[in-house]
Amino acid sequence: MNEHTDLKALERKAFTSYHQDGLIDIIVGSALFSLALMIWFFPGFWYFIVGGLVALTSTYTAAKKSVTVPRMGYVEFSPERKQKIIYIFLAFVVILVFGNILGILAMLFPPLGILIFESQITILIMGVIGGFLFALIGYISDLRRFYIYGTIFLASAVFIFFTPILVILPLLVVSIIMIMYGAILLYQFTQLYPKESGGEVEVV
Amino acid sequence: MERWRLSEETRFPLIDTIDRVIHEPARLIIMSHLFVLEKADYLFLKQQTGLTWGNLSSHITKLENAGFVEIIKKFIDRKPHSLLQLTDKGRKAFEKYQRQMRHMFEGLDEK
Repeated sequence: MNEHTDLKALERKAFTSYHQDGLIDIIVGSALFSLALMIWFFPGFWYFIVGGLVALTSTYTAAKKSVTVPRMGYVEFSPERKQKIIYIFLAFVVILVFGNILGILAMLFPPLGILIFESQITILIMGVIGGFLFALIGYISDLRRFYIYGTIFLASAVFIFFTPILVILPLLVVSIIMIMYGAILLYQFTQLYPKESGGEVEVV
Repeated sequence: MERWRLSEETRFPLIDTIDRVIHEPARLIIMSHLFVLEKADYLFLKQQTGLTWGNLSSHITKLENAGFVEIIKKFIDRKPHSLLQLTDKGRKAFEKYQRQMRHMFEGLDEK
């Protein structure tokens, strides 16, 4: 018996193991990849993607039920942990709403659009904001790999600032890395936690 | 606050005040998990604790008989699930156990 049982570490381990399935990486990576393509091919319409957040949440929930729950079981985390997840969700909503407002202003006032969206400084600022957002998610969720995603995103934005080639490069790079790493995690997860046969044990 | 008895010569809690239901390693790890989580099913506890189905079932039965754990039937995605959570009694007993153990070891130098 470990008399110095660290209950916080225990909860953190339960939470991080429940998210070692790679699903959040694949789904968020796919969303960011779609966003990058939308910005490139349909630049006038990417602002109106708040509805995408609903689709993202539904897809993630369905994937969790079909992949994770049959292998790892079902768990409800503490209210404190749930609140942290809500903060992450709110951070996404704030960024999307802010982006939408900027987009609407840019459409109504084209010179403002040029100033905001065709400036190299804007790309750097978005790199910093994106990097910070990823790091915040990593800090709140205890999923450390999000710090690395944030670093990659910021590094790509800095690269674009000095070598303007493809404005959507930061999004493309981080989304592809997230999808690939998520797929690796998913494979490892299914090997480590095969589906349990025989159903749950009932206490008689 | 309920106080546990200490022996006159030492600051260690008397052995008969330690809750033997919680003090068993497998049950301690089950209680620890349920203390930090709101609810969990058998499969999740099995994966986290590394216990076998038989072991897990037997220890949960003992915890349930002691009134520390309750089983909640819930439908998740239209499938019945048995979820486990600590009762108020179980939560208080675990907190008391924590205090006892912490008190026992505080002041000792790490070697």
